Amino acid sequence: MDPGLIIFLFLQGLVLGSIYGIVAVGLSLIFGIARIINLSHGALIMWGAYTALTFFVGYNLSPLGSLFIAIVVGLSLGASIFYLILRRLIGAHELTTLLATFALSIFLEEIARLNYGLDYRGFSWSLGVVKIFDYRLTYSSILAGVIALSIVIILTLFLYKTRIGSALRGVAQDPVGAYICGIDVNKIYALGIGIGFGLAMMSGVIITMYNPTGINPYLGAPYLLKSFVIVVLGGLGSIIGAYVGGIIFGLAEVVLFPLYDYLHFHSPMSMTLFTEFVILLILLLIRPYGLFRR
Amino acid sequence: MSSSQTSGKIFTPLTITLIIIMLVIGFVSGYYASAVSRPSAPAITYTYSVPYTSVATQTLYIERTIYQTLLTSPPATTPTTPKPTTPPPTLPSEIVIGMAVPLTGSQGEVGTAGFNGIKAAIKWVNERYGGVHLFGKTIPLRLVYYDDESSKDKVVQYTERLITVDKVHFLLSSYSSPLVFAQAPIAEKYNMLLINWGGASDLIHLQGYKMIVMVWTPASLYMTQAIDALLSVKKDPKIVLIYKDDEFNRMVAGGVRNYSKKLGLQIVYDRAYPTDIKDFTPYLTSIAPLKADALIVGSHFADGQLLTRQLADQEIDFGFIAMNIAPCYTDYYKAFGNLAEGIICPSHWEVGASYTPEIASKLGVEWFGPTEEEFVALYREIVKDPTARPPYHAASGAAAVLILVKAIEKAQSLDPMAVRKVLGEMHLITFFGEYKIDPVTGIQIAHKMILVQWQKGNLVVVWPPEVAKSKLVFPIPTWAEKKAGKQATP
Amino acid sequence: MIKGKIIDHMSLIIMIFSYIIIWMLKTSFPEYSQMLTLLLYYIAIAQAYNIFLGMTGYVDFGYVSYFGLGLYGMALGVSYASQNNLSSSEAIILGMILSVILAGSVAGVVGGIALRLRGAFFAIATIGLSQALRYLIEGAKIWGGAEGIIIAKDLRKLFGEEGFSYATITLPDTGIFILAVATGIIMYLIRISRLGYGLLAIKEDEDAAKVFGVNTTLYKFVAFIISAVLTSLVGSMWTLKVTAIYPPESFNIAFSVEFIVIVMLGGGGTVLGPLIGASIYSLSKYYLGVYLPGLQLTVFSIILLLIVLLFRQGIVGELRSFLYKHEIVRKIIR
Repeated sequence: MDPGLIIFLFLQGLVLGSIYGIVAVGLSLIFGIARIINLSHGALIMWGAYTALTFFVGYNLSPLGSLFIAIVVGLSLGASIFYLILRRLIGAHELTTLLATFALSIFLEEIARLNYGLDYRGFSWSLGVVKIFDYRLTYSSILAGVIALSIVIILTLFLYKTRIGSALRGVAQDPVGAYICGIDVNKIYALGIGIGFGLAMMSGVIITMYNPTGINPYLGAPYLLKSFVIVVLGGLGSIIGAYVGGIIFGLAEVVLFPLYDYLHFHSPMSMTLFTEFVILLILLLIRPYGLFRR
Repeated sequence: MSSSQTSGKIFTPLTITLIIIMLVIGFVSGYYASAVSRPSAPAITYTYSVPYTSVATQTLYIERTIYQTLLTSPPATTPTTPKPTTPPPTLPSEIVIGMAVPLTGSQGEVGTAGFNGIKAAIKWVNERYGGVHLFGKTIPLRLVYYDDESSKDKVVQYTERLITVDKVHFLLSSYSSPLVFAQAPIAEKYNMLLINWGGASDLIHLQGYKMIVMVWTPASLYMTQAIDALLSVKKDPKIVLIYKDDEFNRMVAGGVRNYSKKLGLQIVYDRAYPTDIKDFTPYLTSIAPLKADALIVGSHFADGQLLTRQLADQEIDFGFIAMNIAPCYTDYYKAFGNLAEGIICPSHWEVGASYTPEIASKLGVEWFGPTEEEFVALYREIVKDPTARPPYHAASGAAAVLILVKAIEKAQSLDPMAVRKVLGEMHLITFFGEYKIDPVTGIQIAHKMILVQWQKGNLVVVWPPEVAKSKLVFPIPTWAEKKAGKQATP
Repeated sequence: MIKGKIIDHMSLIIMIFSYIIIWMLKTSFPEYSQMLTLLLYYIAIAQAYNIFLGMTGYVDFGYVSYFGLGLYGMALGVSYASQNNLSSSEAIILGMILSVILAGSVAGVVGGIALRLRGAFFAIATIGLSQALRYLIEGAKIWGGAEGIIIAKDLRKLFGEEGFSYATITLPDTGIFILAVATGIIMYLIRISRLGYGLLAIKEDEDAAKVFGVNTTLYKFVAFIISAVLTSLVGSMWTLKVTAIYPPESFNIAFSVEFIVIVMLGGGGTVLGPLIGASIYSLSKYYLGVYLPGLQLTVFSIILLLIVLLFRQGIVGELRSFLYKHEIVRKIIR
């Protein structure tokens, strides 16, 4: 085995994993703070990708700029959805909010379809490559991975070092207790959901940095699915857990492939994905609440 | 806590009796109702004659099989000799074609394209051609359609609705092999002709269905033309084959494998990848050291685009790259710009590669339908975009309509069996290409794929030589050269 | 006394009555037979799912796995039977047995592991199952791999030319009807039994239930397995209808989500809930598709949102709560 290949695959896995991580963090956050399973997570990611596409093609704005647009739109959208719809459903069984976010996801997909059509769009944003031994890693994907990591770091700092962050964590731990302490729980919910939506849209932009093609209204579904699994792996509600879970998944996907290829499995990639779930299952046996309990 | 919930007998004798009585009544009445309405024993056959005056005046007998239903009161005897017991029916004022097609969902884009092509063809038949020529009159076509959302249970429901509620005369298939598979039993049950313009899997036609007719090239022959083209420029090439692990692309890959084996070519890498793949890197690192001449990819949209992106990033070069589906679209060039240069895509049809009446007469085959110019103009009217470029799904759908109309005219009948028989014998050329099927299975055997290649920002037809507008570029520029701006020039 | 007893079981009677009506509709209006079969299919699965989801409140996102295993069980059974020249009835029975065995064993394993988790943790932990099965089938190329299994030819061989329509339409349609009735009855029996009472207690407050002596682990497990097996049987019938199955669609998570929506829409834990939920869901989707092609999903999502906001416990559930003080209503709408 070529050692250069292993190093390259490892780095590629880290990059991909970082992206999976940021995608999962949004889902974990909303669940942690508001106990809502956000099924529209995938649709929001898709809208983030379309945002990057629209502003790149229309206004020559690089995806970096679209990141800011994404967070602003996500925040406002999340807060409004909360006040309009989710607020009335907070106390009820977890499943009612699930239905609401399900309806929302269909709605968002349909709007995207009606607005952009069903074509598979893309754009070209190339920053060059860096050579690692004989292999190439694109700068844009490295940038994507690094930005994902920075967002997670900023988020963690926000949650642990600021007053509002403490309020968020307080509500996540015990809404009633937080209310007694004088925190306006509804406002915190709105903020938390807004940040979650914003993170989802930013993930969409970051994904286009990694792969700026194949953008279509049904883009989000595979990411939603992966996020669910990663979030369980990392522990529901844990930001760091979601990110680390993402890294594990990314590494597994890229690094396990040559192994399965060597073993002459018919579709090594499918086996790799299967292994990810086996990892999850084994992990749940040992630590049922995920790697990092909230 | 009421006592009936945790203790005591659940079923008192009275309750049990009542339940049993209700069940018995229900099933007996249901059975009785179904027994009366089921086409159990003889389906009543009416024969009637319709005078048809043509050059040779003849009387045609049309047999119609009508199932007894609860709603019509039929006579109990089957007339054995054809005698006009009923007066000749009036011809329908319009011929209704039904279609469940994905306008949304994973197949939404291509389904909509086909749908628009079908509408364009119907417009041509009704307005330019005058309608279907039946028994000396011209009858217009009407389309009834439902969006099946790319979903199997919907396509089954709506196909049935088209047959039983809307009472269409003929069916056009949905788009994509799994959906056509799902609707086939329904069409077969009602003895309804199903024109398959959107399911490329050969297997559909190997299941013994009698009423399905394929219009375009089956999956196994998708890439064989690409191999021919490759051989025309390079002897004994080393081929890398990767394909999406779905039924359609597996057939495409299988076709490549069989054809290569027949010709003695070596495939140095042969792997499938999962449907929603997000990263080709592991495949690419295995492929790069092989330094092969040709890359053949069985792909769809998103994966095709992703692969192109990552090939370019990794700068893995091939002299010949043939990719399914994704590069056939203008969105591909919009997404990749110069990097798309040189990429080849097999297509059922492209603007500029149409057959013409001249080609038809040279080949001695009957011609029917609009020319390419007429079709493109009609398509643009339908989609209300004067620059629109119809993709091959639109042309395939249109061809389905044209072939059906021609077969109806040749059979001079609306009876599905008669039309099916004619379809089995017919040899026709439309702007879409040749049509001829295997009469038993309904598989298309005459329609050939063409190859298109991106050259200097345009998608040009490079193969087969009869319709080629430009020479095949081989080897194509390397990724580095393309990034520097080099284009594929023949 | 007698009157009281009938009233007690009124919901069962209403349910059976509805099934009879649907059956009669089906035979009187054969042009809607597929639509009604689809309705029964939704009802059957919704009832089966209700046994676990509705009664315990545990959400199983991987539920589609049991359906998918049911699909594969029948497909494998039919192909095996066709290759080994068994009779047609042997083929069907073999298929159904395989479906039950596959789903039952996987449910047993998964239930044993995952039911230790609570609430949302359980929910998402089960997501992996359906994907794992799909990738296993594709990656290791078992059971036809990504090629799927196509049984149309086998059915033709087993049932003959004339019997093909019977095998692909009449047989599965009848089977789905029988399953719809059976799951409804089983759901009712569970509902009024000790098991059902315990499950509802778990749904309300699992810890309290434990304290009161309910064997929560056993009850959850039993409900889980029953639910899984019933769905797999519906899956086995579905294979006969579509004649071709592939891994990605057989284990598609949207299926689970759809049925969660249906069960919750109607009202989880009620006997009539899944009936109402499935009817509203499938009928509205059908007719929206007929009258608003292209826009049906947009409208549907808005309607769904409104229903969720207005009926927080599902339609039947909300109705029951609203009229809770009338004991008669409580008994009729179970």
